[in-house]
Amino acid sequence: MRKAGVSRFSGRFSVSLAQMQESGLVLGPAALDEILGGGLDRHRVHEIVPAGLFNLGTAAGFACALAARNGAGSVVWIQQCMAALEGGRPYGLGGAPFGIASSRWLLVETHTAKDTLWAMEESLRTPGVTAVIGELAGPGEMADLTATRRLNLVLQERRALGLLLRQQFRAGTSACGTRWRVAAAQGRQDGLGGIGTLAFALTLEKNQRGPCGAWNVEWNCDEASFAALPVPVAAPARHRPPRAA
Amino acid sequence: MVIAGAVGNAQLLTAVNDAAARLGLSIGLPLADARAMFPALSVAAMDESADQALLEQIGGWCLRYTPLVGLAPPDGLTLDITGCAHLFGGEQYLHRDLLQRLQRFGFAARAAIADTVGAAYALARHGKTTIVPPGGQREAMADLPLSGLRLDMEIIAGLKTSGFTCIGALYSLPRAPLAARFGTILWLQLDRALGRHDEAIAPRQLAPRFTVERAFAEPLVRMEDILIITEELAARLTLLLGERGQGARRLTLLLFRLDGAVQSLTAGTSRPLRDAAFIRRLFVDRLTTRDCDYDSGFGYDLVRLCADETENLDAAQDGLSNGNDAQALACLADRLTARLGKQHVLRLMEQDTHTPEAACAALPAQMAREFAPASLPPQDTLLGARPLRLFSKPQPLDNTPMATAPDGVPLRFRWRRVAHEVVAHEGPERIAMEWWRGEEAPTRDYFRVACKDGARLWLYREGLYGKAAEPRWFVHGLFA
Repeated sequence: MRKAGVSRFSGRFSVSLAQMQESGLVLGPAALDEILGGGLDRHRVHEIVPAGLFNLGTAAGFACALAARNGAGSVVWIQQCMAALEGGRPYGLGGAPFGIASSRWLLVETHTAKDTLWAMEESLRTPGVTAVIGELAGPGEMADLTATRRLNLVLQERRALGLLLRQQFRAGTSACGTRWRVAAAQGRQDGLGGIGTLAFALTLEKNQRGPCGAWNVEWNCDEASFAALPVPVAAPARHRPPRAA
Repeated sequence: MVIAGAVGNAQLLTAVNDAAARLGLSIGLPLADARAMFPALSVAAMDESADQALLEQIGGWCLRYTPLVGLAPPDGLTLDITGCAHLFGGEQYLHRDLLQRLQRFGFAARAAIADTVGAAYALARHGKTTIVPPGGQREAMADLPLSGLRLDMEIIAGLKTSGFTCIGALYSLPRAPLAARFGTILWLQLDRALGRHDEAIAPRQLAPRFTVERAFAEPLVRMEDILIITEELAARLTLLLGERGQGARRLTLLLFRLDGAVQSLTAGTSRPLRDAAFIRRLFVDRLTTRDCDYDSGFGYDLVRLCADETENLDAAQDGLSNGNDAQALACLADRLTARLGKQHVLRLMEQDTHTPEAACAALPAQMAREFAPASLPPQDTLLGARPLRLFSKPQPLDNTPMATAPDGVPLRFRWRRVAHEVVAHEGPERIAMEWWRGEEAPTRDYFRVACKDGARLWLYREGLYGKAAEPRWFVHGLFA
């Protein structure tokens, strides 16, 4: 009896597999999409946390890459003022590697985490918004289980991507679909020196649809898609003569 | 009880109460004299800014009678009630209502209604008649003292020594000799008071273009009621706007509290707006946030909604909330702005400059439409990589980086008390500051570096080696 009641209650949120695939944002690498159950669930908010103190830019970059992949509409970046002190403000010209022109941004600054979450809800309700990035200073304690469930409810009707960017790891429950810990990875070199392609070392720490894992992916700007980085293997030693057959 | 303040270099009495006036004290008497006469006198210091603020507040309250309220410091208000009196049942009823309410707030006030600002000024301060019939100001003012003419103290003193005591004595005098002695201001003020010369009041704020209001016999206290009334007023306002083909760009909601306080909420919109539901939502956000000083107290007896600024809006665009995406985004920006403030909801606009912090300007989203260029500046295909996040204030490195050559690539440095080791770099990209702007800013050399700990930084060295000032290093942004 009680179980029936629970299933009736949860029926509002449960989705069929076909819907799940429809709502998923396909990232690119097959291994990643399979674990995510057909892509990133658009009906849930996703958390992105930098792996270390100095990975703030990379974590924001991963959020922008996901936003760019979700469509060509506006991207709303809501930032707590304290977060801007720590990690700088979003820079319009820096969206170029993700194919996000400066005219597509709507930047919002808030004083409190509560305002940030409110602005996220409002933005997610707006048609024409592709993705909403909410950046919280510190661990963002305000975005707890209740707050993230509220965001999930808003996301039920929309195809926008809701991304929660925490500046520090927060220990505690939340209703997010996935939680990613992002660090910079060594991208492929073009042989001319320099930093190489844009690459992320992703650790999937929480996944509501499957197991977790870690991958190194690179961002392909031209196709707006992720690709798995080849696993680095030791280069063949050059000084040794080829082995006799 | 008297109020004293510094006038010029002297401490003079600036206000006296009835008891002090009965003792023979008057405004303008030196404080030292008054103290000598009555050692037990209680004296309070004059606070001009508080007086001004109170006058402003009363002026705000007077908006319930007319949209055109002018201040006449230090102690007066001028109301232009042209076309407003009949709303209160006639001039004498308006006059009575105004004075009764002010008296209830605890103010001793006098008021007079006349054709001209000057006549009303003189009669309110010195006259016995309170309502002058049209054209009757000449007779009404004849017996009033000269100080009713809004002249400098020296001119009045001069006129008194010449034997003139009342305004009526000036009516039939030849003008030239007095103008030569006291200046033309004397006749100008007299002509203004008599209506021979036009005078407009300088209102505190411009009269809004469209106004709807509702007054209540029983004051509203509950927030829900206010929201319902706001919605009703918004519906009436949209009808008015629709008739004229206008849309609101700035809206003000005025809540007149029973005790005289007036709360004013202003909301801007990024495009002309004529949608009652959306107008309501703009104010709901403001009224329901904690930081709004909403305090109903004894309740509100008048709620007014004004469209302060309007723009042409074609009828085809009715129903903004279900329009296309750009409109939806504009609505979003308006709602966010209404709660967070204009400076916190921004759109980006690329500028034709190489200075990184100026190359992408952030403008309030509501203003972006006016400033949007017809076409984007041609893209600079040679532009180097730019970081995703930029510090609004470049952050200095803790030390001068270790490098192969003084002006070479930094290899090791400290930033935020952590040592960073560079594993890959791009640059330098030299950006010279704009000499034509006048200020001498040093040239910057930008490096994009990848560090061992995963930091992807945009460093720059400000200044060149070999110059007078030692170059300094900064982190300007973070790359993805």
